[in-house]
Amino acid sequence: MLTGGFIIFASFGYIALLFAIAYYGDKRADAGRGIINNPYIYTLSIAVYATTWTFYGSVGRAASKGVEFLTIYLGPTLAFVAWWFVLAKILRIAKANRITSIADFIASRYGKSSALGGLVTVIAVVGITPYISLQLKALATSLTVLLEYPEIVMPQEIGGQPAVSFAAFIIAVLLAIFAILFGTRHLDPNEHHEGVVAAVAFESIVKLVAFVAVGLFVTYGLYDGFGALFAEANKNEDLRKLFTVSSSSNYGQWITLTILSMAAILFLPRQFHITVVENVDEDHLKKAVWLFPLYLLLINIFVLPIAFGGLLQFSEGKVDPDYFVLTLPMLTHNEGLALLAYIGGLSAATGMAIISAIALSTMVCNDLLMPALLRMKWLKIHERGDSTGLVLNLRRFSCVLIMALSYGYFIFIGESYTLVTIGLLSFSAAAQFAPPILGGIFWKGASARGAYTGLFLGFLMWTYTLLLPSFALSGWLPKSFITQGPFGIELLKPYELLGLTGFDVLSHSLFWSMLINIGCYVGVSLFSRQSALERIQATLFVDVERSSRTIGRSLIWQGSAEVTDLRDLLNRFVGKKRTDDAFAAHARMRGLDLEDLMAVDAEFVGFAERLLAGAVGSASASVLVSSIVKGEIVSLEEVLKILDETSEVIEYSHQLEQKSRELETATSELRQANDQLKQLDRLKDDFLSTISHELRTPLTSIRSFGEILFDKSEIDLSQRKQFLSVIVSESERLTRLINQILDLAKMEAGNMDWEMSEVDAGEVIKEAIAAASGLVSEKNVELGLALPEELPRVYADRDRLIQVIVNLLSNAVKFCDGSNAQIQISADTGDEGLLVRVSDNGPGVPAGSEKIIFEKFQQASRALAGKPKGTGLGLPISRQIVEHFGGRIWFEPGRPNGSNFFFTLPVRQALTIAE
Amino acid sequence: MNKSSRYTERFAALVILAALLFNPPILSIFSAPHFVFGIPLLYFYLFVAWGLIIAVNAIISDKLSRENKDIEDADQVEPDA
Repeated sequence: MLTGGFIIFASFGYIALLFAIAYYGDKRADAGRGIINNPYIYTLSIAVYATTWTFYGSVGRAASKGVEFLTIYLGPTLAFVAWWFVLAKILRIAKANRITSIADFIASRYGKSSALGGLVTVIAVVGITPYISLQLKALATSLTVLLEYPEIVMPQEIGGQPAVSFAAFIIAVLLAIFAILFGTRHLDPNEHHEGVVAAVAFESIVKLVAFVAVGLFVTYGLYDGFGALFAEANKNEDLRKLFTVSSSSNYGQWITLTILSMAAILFLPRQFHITVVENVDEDHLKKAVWLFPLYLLLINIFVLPIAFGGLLQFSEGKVDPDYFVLTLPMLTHNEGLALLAYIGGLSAATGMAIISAIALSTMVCNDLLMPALLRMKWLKIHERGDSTGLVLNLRRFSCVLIMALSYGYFIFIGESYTLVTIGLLSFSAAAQFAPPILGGIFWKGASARGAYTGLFLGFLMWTYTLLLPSFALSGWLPKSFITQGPFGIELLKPYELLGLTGFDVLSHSLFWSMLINIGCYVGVSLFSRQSALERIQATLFVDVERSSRTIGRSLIWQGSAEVTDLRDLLNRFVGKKRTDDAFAAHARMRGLDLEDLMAVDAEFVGFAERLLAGAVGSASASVLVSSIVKGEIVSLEEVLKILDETSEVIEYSHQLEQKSRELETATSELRQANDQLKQLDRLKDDFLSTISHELRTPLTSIRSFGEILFDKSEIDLSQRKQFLSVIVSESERLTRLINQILDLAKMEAGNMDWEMSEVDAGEVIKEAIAAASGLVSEKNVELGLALPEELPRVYADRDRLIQVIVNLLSNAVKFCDGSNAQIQISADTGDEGLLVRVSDNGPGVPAGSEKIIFEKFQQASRALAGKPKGTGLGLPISRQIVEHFGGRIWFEPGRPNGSNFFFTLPVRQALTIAE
Repeated sequence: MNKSSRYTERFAALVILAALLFNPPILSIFSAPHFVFGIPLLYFYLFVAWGLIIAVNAIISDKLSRENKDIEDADQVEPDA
């Protein structure tokens, strides 16, 4: 079955299938029913990360270094765990600004600088081309190996074998055609290529299935599962070493590789393209952040078994471990599986190459060629008619250029390297983008000059410590460049710069390039001025959540433009239909009438520029729009003013909020005060009515008895005496009442004459009991007294203090039950000084009235009993007195019933209270 | 706002945990010539730790998107109410 013709046929058949899927995907997208709008396709498309390097190279790496290959997948897992902090923000920024590539992202952040975009593009092309050529190499090698079936022969000189390089050439041509057909069909302002994404997602399934199939075959077909395989390997001294990480320097490389792959998954141009630019819905990310690492985990499970299986099956050095995945099925004559493995490798290679070609060609076109052409005024691109074709042709040209470069690299240098080494070269180049991007989305102060300097010097350092030595190893440069340094200068040895030793090659390069890159980026940023545009873009990027709504959108263009000019410009680059649709939608959203509109405002211009940026990149769009807008880009002073005004408005609104909060508080305070006043008013009314009632009752009885005595002379003496005694007692009551009212009024007004002196609390209590004894015995109440032997002396007005106790006692007597009435009076020294308690077993005070009873005329039982039993002034007066002495008085319910009245008096020095 | 900052804290903790688990020195503890279920300890550890991190990330992210959905639903309901 595995004849040369059949293998070729299967390869073309597979690539034809890809064309069909991409075609179908595009058709569906055109019909408005895209098939890629779900998180699973999105995840699978991100899995373009797994290239032939994963498919073939991981096994090779595992065969020589054990588990270290996993770092390339643990790094992305880490990056995707941290998605919330970085990836989500990048995605949002890219959507808000219609970013078309990683070069566009960086250029746009630093003031739409075309110089910076160009630099990023150059770095990307130089850094990634070897990576694409690596795919070609892997493809060509695997094809050659398979064509030799049933023999297993390693092609030593791929580039030298005309047949193989021809195969690689054909593949490169096919890939270029694919990228051109589906990557540059039309200029899409969103830069979405649904067909390509669908094809790549399909390829991710194929490579996973193929790899797992080979893995299962090796683990369970050749051996009896993992245990048996590892046990077999354990017998071999050399293989046993691969079970552990052997030395500490390997740990250094471990960390370096993890960091590099973290950067790579975000900043490799193809990963940025597929994850950020091709993303159709931000929500897909939330699933992809764990599904993608899961994919990586699945595709890596069988790497070690295959590596050990290959090492055990093949004698040393005969077969390149990089191709165990292919050669193991061939060894056992599993033709179908061998073909599947080959197709898996083909899918890994083509997916990567296609996306890289599209991403790079977009960058080359938008950030390198377009700005350059626009700068050549004599070309008069501004005045040309439909320019969509021009842009698309530039992209097609870029695609071909990239594939040609990759093929050239493959022919001249590729064969001297293993897969992983070339891949790591690219990873290190992509890592150079990390500082300007990460810094750019979190640090507003980062300037274009800083980013440019850092990137440029970091790239130079990368070239010197990684790229040039790789040329030397391939024979393009003399070997002495590495061993003795250029011109024999030891300090400049590219692998031991300035005599720095002890690092592996990769860590050494990462250290130097990042040191220079980050150092210059930060240092120059701190000491350079940002232009107005930079400042605006920095704000737009860093504050993407806030700024996309409030500021920045319309800041950039100060003047206005003619609708027709703007429309013409967009027609040329975006196409007439898309322009009309977008204009209509925007006008509708803002309630403008396009028909009547002559000139459009800054916001409209900003919108048009973003639309244009989606097609040709932000740097070119900026140049194009500036050619038709009347009025300048705003100056720094104006931007600052606008920003200040904005912040002033925000500040002002904060103040307003604060004020309104204060007002609310004041209002509620006022309401409270008003309620209090109303209650006081009601109390005053109550007071007046009660007092007139209280005064009238004794007056009425005095008057009626007086009238009886006056009218009826025949009343006998004893009755007359009785009547007179009533009159006397009622008069006394009246006098008492009036005295109390006067007392209270004086106390409240502060006019009371106090006769303060040191008094013996015990004596006072006894005296008060004696004064109230009449009352007590009258109602047949049992009075208990509990006084400690020593009571402190307090500073008080003796008579008033007696009045308080008598008040409390008479209160207790009044409310006591007729039979079995008990009153208990006790005193003690507590924390607050002297504590006196008067308790009874009466009905007590209803819950809720504990405070009211100390108010004037507020007898708790009044509402219940219907008639007052006292003046209602006793407790308020007592409170006034006690509080004047510096103590307090309160009520607590008794158990199970009854009342407890407490009051305290401070035991203090006479001097202090006199003040 | 509060909710989102709680997620920020959770993701931050998970990143730190993952970075610790995937790198020395914790990694070097498991770099020993032992076998678990016939699998070298280091391999076994790495894949288990990896799976664990993915699972926790899945749980947190899933919860986050469900809560966001609730908020969106609530936003949509409000005008009708």
